[in-house]
Amino acid sequence: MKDYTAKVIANEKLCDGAYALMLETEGMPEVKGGQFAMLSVPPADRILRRPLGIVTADDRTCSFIYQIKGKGTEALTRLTFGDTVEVMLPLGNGFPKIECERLAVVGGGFGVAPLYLAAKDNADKEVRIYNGFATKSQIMLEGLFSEAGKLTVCTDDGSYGFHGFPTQALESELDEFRPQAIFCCGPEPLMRAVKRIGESRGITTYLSLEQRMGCGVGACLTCTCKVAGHNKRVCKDGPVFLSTEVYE
Amino acid sequence: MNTAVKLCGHTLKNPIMTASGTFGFGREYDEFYDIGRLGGIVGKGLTLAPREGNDGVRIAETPSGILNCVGLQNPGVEYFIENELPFMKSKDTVVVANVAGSTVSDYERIVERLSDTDVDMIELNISCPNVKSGGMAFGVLPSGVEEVTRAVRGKCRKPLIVKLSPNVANIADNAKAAELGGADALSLINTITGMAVDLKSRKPLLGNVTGGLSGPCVKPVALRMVRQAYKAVSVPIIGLGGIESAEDVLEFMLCGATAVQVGTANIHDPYAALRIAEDLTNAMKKYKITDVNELIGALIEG
Repeated sequence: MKDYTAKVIANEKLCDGAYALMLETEGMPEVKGGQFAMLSVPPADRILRRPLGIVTADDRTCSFIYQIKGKGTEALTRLTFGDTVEVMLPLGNGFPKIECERLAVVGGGFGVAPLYLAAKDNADKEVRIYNGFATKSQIMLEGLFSEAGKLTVCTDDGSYGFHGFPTQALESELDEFRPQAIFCCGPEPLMRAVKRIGESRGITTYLSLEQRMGCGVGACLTCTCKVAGHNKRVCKDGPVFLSTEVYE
Repeated sequence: MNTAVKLCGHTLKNPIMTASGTFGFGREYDEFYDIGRLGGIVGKGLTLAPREGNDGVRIAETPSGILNCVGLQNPGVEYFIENELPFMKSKDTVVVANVAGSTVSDYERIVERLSDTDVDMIELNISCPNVKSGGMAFGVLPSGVEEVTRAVRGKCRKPLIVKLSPNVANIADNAKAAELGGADALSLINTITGMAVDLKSRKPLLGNVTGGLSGPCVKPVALRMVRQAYKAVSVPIIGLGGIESAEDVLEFMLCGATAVQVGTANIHDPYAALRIAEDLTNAMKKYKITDVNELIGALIEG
């Protein structure tokens, strides 16, 4: 974990309300799927950094997707080629590299961000990816994810791919695919549904949680969540937790 | 150029300390730099028993500041003594334990326990705005400040810093009350109570409804209160509230601070405290200061 001054090399609109940001810096550290970064945002009166899941990373670049949620992320959209930002990474525990043969990856909306690297980290397994979006115009990273496993893109309204939630797509293949582990990141209702599916079938399930964050390194205790009955830090103890320990 | 200051019998190599609750027990930031390069480190607020803190959203952002309502989540004093204090003491810096309680007896017991350790100083948090019984009851009226300080003084075998709340009628009265109760030093300000509203849900944004405001937006209030306290007491003052730069440190010292604490800046910049400490000599050069001690309280008024 280190704080880098990075150069913006791309910041483009991906689809409705979604942007992709690519940064470049010398000596990018190795990043595990599911880890995140804390980015400084441009307006001086917004002092907190923004936590963003890392989509791709190599030895000199890393990329992110983000949506406009407030003033900070809105300001991020104004970054252009050559601008510099402070970026602290890699943070958090990330998804584990687990011993199994078949892995299901379930993502919803912007929650797909950290799952690409998580799937790639497990390329020695049969990986099936179920990514869900509200509608066709909001689908993200289809090309990228199709490199990391067998991808099923789902839309809630049926405008593209599988008509329904990614959990329904997963369930329709469970008996045939028999995954031994599930990785999930997305809105809370999706993660709760994946938790139910995984636990009812005895499948080891990992969920990547989101929380408003302060420091990103475990010091300020503002991003806590209940893990096995105790407050744990999403930024440092997580963001990835076993499903059996969260959302009780 | 001299950056060292004396505080309660200890020499701080520079006047930069960290503010309780923004620095854990130092471990997270020691991964970025050697925290022994700071004048002092103040740990997360401790209670006798471990505390889980508040539920729900604990942080919100506001222009040039943040609100928090962590609610004194901490592992308890015994865990601290066994697992965190040895690490802090292994660093070449002054180590301060920050303590909170809900009753006078809580404060007495925790301070008595810490007096048996090699912690360098104890900071009494009588001003946590985020728990009903976080000491705030003692921190509001001068009589409460004096009562708890006097009781703790009787049990405390370490230099005692009393951390004052800004959510009071007259900061000078509370500063005097702490001095009268036996405080060896004062630190101020703690956070200012505030609120954030989520328009969409029509609910308070923070889980605890109210939270403590900190960051650059509170600095003018903090400077004013440090100045008023400085004029009211003769014990040294540790200034804090929105410090982001070495210039901010010099301003606090001019108003009367002997040392300062860097808090919210750590949260958005992991190197903040070190950066400020290292930049201090540059700022001193710029303003032709050879010894930081010459600044303490030297504000020219009227």
